[in-house]
Amino acid sequence: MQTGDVSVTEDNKQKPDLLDAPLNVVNVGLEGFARELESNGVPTVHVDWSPPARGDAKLADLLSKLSE
Amino acid sequence: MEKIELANQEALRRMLTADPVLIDVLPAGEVLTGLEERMILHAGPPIEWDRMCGPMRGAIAGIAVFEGWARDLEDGERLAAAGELMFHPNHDFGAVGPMTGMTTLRQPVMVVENRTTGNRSYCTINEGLGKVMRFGGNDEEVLDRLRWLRDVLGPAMGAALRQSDGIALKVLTARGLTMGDEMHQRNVACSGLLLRALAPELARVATDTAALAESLAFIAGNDQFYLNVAMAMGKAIMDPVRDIEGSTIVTAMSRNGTDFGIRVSGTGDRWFTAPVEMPEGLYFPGYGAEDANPDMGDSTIVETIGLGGFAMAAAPAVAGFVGAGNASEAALFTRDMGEITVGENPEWTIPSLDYQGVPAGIDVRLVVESGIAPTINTGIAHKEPGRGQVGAGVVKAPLACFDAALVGIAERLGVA
Amino acid sequence: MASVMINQVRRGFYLDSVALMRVARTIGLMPGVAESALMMGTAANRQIMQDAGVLDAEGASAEGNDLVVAVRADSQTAADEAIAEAIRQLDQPKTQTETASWRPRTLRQAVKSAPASNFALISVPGDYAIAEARKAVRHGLHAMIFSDNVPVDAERALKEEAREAGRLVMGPDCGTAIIGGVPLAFANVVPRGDIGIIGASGTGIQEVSCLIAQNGGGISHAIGVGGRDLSAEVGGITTLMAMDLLERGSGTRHIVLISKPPATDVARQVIERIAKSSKPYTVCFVGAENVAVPDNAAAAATLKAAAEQSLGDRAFPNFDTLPVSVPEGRRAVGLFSGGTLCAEAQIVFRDARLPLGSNAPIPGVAALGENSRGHAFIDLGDDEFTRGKPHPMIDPSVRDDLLCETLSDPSVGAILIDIVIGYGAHEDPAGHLAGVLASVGGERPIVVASVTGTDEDPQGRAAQVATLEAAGVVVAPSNADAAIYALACVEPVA
Repeated sequence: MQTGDVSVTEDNKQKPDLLDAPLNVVNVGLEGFARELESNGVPTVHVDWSPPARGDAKLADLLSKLSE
Repeated sequence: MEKIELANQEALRRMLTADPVLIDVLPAGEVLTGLEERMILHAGPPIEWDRMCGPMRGAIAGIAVFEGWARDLEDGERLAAAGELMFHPNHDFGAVGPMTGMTTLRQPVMVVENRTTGNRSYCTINEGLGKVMRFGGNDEEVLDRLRWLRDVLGPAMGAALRQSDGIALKVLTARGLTMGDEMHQRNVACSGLLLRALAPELARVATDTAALAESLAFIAGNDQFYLNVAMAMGKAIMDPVRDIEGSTIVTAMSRNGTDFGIRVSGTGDRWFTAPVEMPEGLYFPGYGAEDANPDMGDSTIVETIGLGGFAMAAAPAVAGFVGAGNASEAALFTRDMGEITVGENPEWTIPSLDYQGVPAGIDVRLVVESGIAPTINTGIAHKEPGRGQVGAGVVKAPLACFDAALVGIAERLGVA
Repeated sequence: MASVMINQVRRGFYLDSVALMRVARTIGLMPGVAESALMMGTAANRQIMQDAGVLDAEGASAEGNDLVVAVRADSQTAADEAIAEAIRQLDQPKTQTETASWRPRTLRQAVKSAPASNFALISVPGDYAIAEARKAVRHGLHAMIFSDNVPVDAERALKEEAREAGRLVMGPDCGTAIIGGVPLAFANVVPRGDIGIIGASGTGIQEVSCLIAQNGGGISHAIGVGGRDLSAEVGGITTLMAMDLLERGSGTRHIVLISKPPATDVARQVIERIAKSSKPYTVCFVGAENVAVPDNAAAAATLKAAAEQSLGDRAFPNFDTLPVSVPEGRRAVGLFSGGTLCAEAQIVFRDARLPLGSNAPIPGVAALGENSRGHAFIDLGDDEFTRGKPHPMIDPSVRDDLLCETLSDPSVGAILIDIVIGYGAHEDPAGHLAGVLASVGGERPIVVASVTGTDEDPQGRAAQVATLEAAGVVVAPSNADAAIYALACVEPVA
């Protein structure tokens, strides 16, 4: 189960196949990819990403245990 | 972990179904179980005299005089230092208090009942702006105002509320949000709405028109009158959210001017603390950042329920306290708080965000993961005792509290 | 020091206290100003100004709806200027500032703000990529992981979870995809058509899709699976899912599968799945020999052959530029930015039974040693070259040193180069190469290149070809043709 949400995986199977629906992209990482997608008219949300838990490996490990 | 998700959904459900109603004003000694002579309830997590900041010490000395335990301020300090006064957090007595948060036997407290669950919470009456006890003020003017609250306004409000059905706060707060209040630094609209509801009831029970006029003028002249009501409301909403096994939802955030503390539903009454931070803000004429005391007060209970800094978009001017401070960017604060909350409150909406609900239910995991600290709107006290308010601003909750809470909940769940 | 106090009262003027405090702070920082205040004239505020020593009789006369502008300064001029500045700030028309737009800082919030999201493109450092992709999958998104340096067991675990949830995970180390006509990461602008591509190699997908486009075909979808998907450790999870997706989809007539030779068990599973398909397949296991395929499939030795087969086994126009013979014994050196292009060129030389070494050898080719003096094809995208540096497709200058060295190496007769354009690639790799060639004087080896791309790409294939030709580069229509040309130069047919 994902942090903050119940029943996300249950919803998955009702969504259309990847190839049948127009792409709506969440871009996590290189911003240039988001700009190129936007220039192609693809709805894109760019995530202003930074390492989870400020890069603290111990906390990140706890987070994954408390999220799964 | 499914247990956590279910627990948090339950926590959010309890928050959203709460029905807080202002029902009474009574002396603290009559309603706070366990409150005794020479016992002082203060804001924030537990703290002893030698670690208290200046304004907290000033307030302690002042309230000791007010209660008749000390002859004068000096005597009050002596009693405190000698261990002859007992200090406890408001939160342990079902109460909250702004800034220094002094709550003692003879002060009147407003009573807010959560009609969904039946629990009650308490907060003193807001004293107004400037040199006041919550900002560490303690001179005769301050003490006289407290006496007037004790002798005149408190009993009048109590009588007025007792013969009414009480004042439902959820709807009143919702209206205030659409009128530009965020309920921490901005309470103009809600104070006005409350006065509108309260005035006829006060008049109905009044025997002395001069005293009635004084009471009405006091409320009308205090833009922050509703803050303490909102705080008692916050406590009444969050108390039933405590002790849900597995929940990572924050049930209280609070500061004593030295430490910032949070409590988390799944870890009960345990405080997770870290040093408080300095607010970034604007100062009254004659004061600057060098005069400021670090962050203080139980008032962060309003952020805990999705108001204050979380509802910044409702009160765009407040964004002006921070950095470049364009009011048009206030929505960014609220949207950022959406990163660290599990839901929104559909009954408390913000018009400029297309009636999006305020972000509700701070999840410790989301704070730690995103590194986004809760934004808190706050007043700023002078760091020396007896001086009062010097400004207002915005401050971040220290992330270290949330890191510690994450470890705490992991231990509790046996995965640390 | 002399002190001048000025109060100015504006009757019936209201402004928010925070806005007023900001103006007060601004003028408080002006030279010579000791104290400043802008406050509505309520009793409480007048008291504050009184205590701060900035209230005079004028200010004291203000009431709750009046604004007091108060200054104490060390000279009349300073005080006047501060008051004037305050008034100016109060009265100036407010310019609409560019409102900073909100950006989510976590994937969770991005999905919350855009509930229609169905695809995550992930290019964070490898240490974090799997965690982000897992979040994407759990929010119901398909994911493409551009990042590399991800442990293989984590890749497998993620792909298993995603398969369970019915989500596709492309990558890690997936550089190229085209989904529904949308180029993702490193990809080219190709027409939509009825040929589907599944590729474990980014440049392989690029070369095949561009050759199809250049020869009149189009692409339905190109699905990258990541370089390790067909390894024994991962078991081809994404490849098999991609095959199912293209099988179900209506827009795909023919499917091209591109990979380096898979692990034996995985290859068997893939071949079995092909046998059950209703669609014809072209299987290009680059470098593999003797690939046995079912009746509805054909094996292609090179990327070019794969493209030809997908268009109905139609041979592309011959590359008819006559090779230039170089003196006997001279070597061919290939400097590749695309790993699969390097592998494809190796096939040409290997199958001609020439002695060849590579730092990324295909079966039948020797590993390149320190003192290898034979033909040498180097994959500059390999880890040994890219550690801490950009990929040569992004920054072609990482190839410069080796290129200059090779250009002046008297033992080299021909240099083989790939130019890869499209989204994500350098804005003008041909121009960069031309610049390097111009800087090297005297006699130099023959340089033969191909340009993987289309005219619709941001760089424009025709423009890149023209630049190369102007610099004296022989430009072949495909990477395979370039390799064949280089072969003919160093090993003329008797």
